[in-house]
Amino acid sequence: MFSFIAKRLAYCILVVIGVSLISFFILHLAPGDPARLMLPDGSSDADIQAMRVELGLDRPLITQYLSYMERAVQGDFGESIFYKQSNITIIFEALPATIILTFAAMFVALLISIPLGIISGVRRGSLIDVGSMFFALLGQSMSPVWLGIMLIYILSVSLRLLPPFGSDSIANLVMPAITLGTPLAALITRMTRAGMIDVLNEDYITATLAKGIPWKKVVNKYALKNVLIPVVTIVGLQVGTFLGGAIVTEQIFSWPGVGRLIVSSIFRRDFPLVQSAMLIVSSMFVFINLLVDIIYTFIDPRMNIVREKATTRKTKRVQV
Amino acid sequence: MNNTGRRLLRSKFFLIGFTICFVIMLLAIISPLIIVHSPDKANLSQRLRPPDFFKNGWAGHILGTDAMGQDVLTRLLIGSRYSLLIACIAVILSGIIGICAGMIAGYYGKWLDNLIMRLADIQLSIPTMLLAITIVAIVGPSLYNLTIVLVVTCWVQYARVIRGNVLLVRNMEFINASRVVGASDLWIMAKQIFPNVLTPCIILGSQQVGYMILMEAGMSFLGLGVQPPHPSWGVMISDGRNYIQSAPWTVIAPGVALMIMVMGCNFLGDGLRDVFDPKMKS
Amino acid sequence: MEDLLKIKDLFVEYRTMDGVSKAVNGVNLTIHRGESMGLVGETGAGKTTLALSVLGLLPKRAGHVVNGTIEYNDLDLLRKENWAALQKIRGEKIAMIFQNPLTSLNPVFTIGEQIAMVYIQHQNLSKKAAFQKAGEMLEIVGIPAYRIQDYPHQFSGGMRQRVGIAAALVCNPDLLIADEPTTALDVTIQAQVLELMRNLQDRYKMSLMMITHNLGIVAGMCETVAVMYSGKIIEYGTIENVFRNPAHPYTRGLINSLPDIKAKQGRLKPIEGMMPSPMHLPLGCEFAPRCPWSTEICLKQKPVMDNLGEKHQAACHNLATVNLKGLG
Repeated sequence: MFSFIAKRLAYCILVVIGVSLISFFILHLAPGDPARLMLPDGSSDADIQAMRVELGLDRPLITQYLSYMERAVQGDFGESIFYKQSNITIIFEALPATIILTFAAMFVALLISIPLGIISGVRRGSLIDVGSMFFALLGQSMSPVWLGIMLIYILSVSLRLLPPFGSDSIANLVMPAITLGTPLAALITRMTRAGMIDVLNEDYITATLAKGIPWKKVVNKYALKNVLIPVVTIVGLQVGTFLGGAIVTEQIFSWPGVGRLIVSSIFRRDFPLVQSAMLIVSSMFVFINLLVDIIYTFIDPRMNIVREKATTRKTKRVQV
Repeated sequence: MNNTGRRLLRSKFFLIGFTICFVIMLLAIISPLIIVHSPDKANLSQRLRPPDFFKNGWAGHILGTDAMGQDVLTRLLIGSRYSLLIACIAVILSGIIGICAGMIAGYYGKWLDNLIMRLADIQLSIPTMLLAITIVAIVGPSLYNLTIVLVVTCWVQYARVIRGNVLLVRNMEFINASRVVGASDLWIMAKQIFPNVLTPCIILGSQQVGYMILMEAGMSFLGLGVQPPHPSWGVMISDGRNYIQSAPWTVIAPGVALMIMVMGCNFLGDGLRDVFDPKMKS
Repeated sequence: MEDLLKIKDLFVEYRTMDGVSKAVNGVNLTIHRGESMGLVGETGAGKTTLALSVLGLLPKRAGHVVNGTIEYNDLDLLRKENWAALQKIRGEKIAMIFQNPLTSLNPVFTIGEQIAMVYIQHQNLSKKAAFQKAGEMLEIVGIPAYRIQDYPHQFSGGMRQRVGIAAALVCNPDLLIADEPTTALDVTIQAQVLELMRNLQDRYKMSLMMITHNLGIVAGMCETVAVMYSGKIIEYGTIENVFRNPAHPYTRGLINSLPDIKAKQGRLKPIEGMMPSPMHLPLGCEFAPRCPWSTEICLKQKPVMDNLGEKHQAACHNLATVNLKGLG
């Protein structure tokens, strides 16, 4: 089991190194000078040269990368041009807001989609089924930009139910959470429904019914566990996707999270910050995926090959 | 009409999706010929007029005007050209790259497979939007760059799916038979493997078009997508945002158009998948 | 012997997009208390459909009972008003074991849970007590009790089938319906599982409906046998009667096709042709197209079950001629 985790961990680190390479070299994609990129247009050559020296851009690329990584593993991700503060501090200050938003969105999504998916799968062809499939399709087809704006229009401007901006209270969380969570809810509804239909067709469900177990219990206990196991994986993986999707949502609602920070930094040409954010966010994504994989081996009993087991039992031979 | 064709026509999903996509694409193509108002001349005396619908017939502002006084329907039609063109080209290009990468990875295996798949993993670790906006910010926003960025971020999906399919086909007898006869790798890949992986490509492609349209909308909203004065649905939504209270039609129209188009793509993809490969549920 | 389960005039259809499949076409069958009956037939003859109908387990959207009654304890199990009673009967009075051990156990629950659930449902035991008894049940079927927390994928096919048997016998049911329980198992394992079933049947004194296409199993385990073809019972009787003097041409064909270890036979003797598709049943006797003794009336009129004597019935227009000709 530990060798399993160790192997995966090593792989993750390799991926993170790869990401660091990309986030480092992405700056040099620009035609011309990264320093020129970071300074406002029309800066003098002297300013640009000073910036180059300051950023160490006069050294060979490999050296730059290595010293960048050397500092990074010690927790030093450089300084933001705009804020004049350590990048990592700025990013970690903005992170909780994004995490809160992510969890809220997931909560909203699961709360609606799983029961809806179950009912749709059990009552195939019914009004609820058709309705929920239609809404799932809509949810996946709407631009989150549009959804966010429309929510503001309907709930904030017209009905005056919720505040359009800000981040102080739960009320502020509602619309961003809905905006971010809707595509996920649509996906989970479809998955749960399909899974339920498949599982209910399985022999072991018929066998369970043959034992006299009531239908409700069969659906909500014995079928559901089979349906939800793959769903959990997908949801876990989506956490990482949310970090990207949050960019647009945070921008619409001026939610003070990492996403909005990145967008502002891009427009301010604060590329050291953007670089660091990319590296940090991606690394988090990689490790979250690893965590999800590990959790999966615990919740799916068929995966206990990878887990440690009491070895004494195995030695007894059993007559077949 | 052969069996597949018949099954396609029986699938409601396919019919609805195909119809929607076809109609919108057709409108996009012929739009310069049918528009009544000018698509890029500002007319400030007419700004923010509510939709006439059909009160003034075709000459009026059927869906109203926007903040620059331009007819919303006209911009919608012309904007569809940009949104759809970008999406389709991006899908085709990323498809080509992804298919090549996936085929090479699946066919040759070993270190080449490892290399390509690790590259894919690394890229997938970076949230798509983040990668896209960073690249565009650095190389500068333009239609060309936008399309390239979309291709760069989306080839991975193709590569993975194609590789999976190639792995399935590669071990089949007829491939080995061809090798024994002395067929070159390229010939095998082109003539024998590719036709077998074509189906998931088409299904994925139709879904990707919808995805690209949404991406473009998001990026245009952030200011890094289609640049003014060109219209696109994303740009229209973004522009209209500031006038949502006084002129909601400027936002509703492009949003609904976008939603219908993406729904059409999803229907099309679902219909194709149901007919060709019911086992493939993403 | 007392009647336990009476199936009368049962007609079952499957309605699908491609058409209507007539799976069961007028079955009359009675199982008596303590009787072990074999239900023999080819794949597609309707045996599983018949079994599922007894417990109301037909697939909800496709399967329809179009006619008939199934009486148990003076209750018609097919009637909607008896639904609650049927729920109680399932697993408690009438139990079932299924054909494919790989798919008939829930992969994400322990085998202990899958046996204990019957105790909890029908005997209202606490979780602890139920698992305790489940462990005892495992021992009875030959699985060590300590494996109670293991999952189905940790067992071989034969052991999984034993788990299924254990779950079925929890409440000492009156009737056990076994739908091809050993078909998916290796031959050697088959013998062990059948041995187990024989012992348990003796011990629990229950009726057994053994569904199989294997005549050998029927001969070894059953007292009576019903032969099913195209959704109908075409012959029924004691093992001796049916095996020694098969009356229906199909049964004759089946017996004839068994390889005889003593005879110096050159080739096997299969029955020519195939069973008609349940979607397109012929007008007259369903077996007529394949029957060497068929006459004109066979193609036009469906035969009914005729009594051939003590505990022997068959449905054929030409019973006299068939029997005169002798076996072969």
